[in-house]
Amino acid sequence: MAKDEKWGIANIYSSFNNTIITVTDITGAETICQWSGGKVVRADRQEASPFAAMEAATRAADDAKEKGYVGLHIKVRAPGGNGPRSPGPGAQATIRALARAGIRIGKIEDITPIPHDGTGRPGGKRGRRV
Amino acid sequence: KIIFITGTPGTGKTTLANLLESKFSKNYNFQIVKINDLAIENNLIDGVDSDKGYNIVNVQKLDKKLNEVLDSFFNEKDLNDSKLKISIVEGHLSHLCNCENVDKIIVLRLNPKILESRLKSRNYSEYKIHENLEAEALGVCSVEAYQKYGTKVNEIDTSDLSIKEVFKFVEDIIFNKKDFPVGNIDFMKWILGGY
Ligand SMILES: Nc1ncnc2c1ncn2[C@@H]1O[C@H](COP(=O)(O)OP(=O)(O)O)[C@@H](O)[C@H]1O
Ligand SMILES: [Mg+2]
Repeated sequence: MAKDEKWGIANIYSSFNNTIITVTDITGAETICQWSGGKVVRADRQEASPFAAMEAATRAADDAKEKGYVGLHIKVRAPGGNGPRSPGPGAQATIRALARAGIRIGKIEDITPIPHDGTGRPGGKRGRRV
Repeated sequence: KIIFITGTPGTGKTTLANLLESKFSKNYNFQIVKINDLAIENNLIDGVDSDKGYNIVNVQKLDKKLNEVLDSFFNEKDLNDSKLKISIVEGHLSHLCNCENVDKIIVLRLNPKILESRLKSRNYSEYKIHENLEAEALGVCSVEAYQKYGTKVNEIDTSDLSIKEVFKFVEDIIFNKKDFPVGNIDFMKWILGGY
């Protein structure tokens, strides 16, 4: 990572129904672009498909490159993971699509939210590869 | 029958479970298990998450304890044996437990915008509220429950429902009259700033 290279952050949100990618500057303060599966495909039921997620990632990569970004650090929020009944397109395909579109991938963090009140499950690594 | 009620904190699990108890106790041999209380009372706690300020539950120990409690209820012989036994297990950690004999897992969902005002009245920190709202927007409990239990999982959007209406839906689910498959509720708009 040379000093003069411009790096940003890609926040990937993945649910049962949709994937959203929000690219910000390195501080997180300024949003560069935001794409969702629902925005890139027309058919309602298609927005949860891996195709829609990858398409959204490609659009986000194009916008970031246009603004001079060479690489993105990734923050993933994606419940579930890679189990036998894993719903949604998953984060993996999305990250791969960013890379394929010519973006360099930096640090990948899993910050999937943990529901909690007075109690909660253990945090940290969930044994999932993204 | 064994029913798990899960969902992000503030979606109405405890309120619903209490209503089920008051409606069902007369006609059924009824047990209510409040997972948070079970974990605290039996000290199934591994420590405190210092950033987020919650008691970290040991899920393996919770799982074991819950199955003991359920087994002793269903194995116990008493004068009410002619009545159908119903066990309601309530808590946002319930769906993480492994229970072979569970009949339905019900996930209560709520528009994050409404959930926000409920959690604010609990005086949670901004950070804590935000993490729970993100969890609800992404359907964390639904996805996790679905991964473990597949089509046994039902989810209800309670955003426009009174607690009595939620009860009616839940009653229909428990007695196999209605099915609310996972995947039809989408609060991702909240992420986009759309509510
Ligand atoms: N269907 C509903 N409509 C309006 N308010 C509700 C409903 N269900 C629950 N509430 C209110 O929301 C708050 C949180 O409910 P609670 O049952 O404690 O949630 P949980 O146990 O899931 O954390 C309570 O003040 C309760 O009265
Ligand atoms: Mg509760």
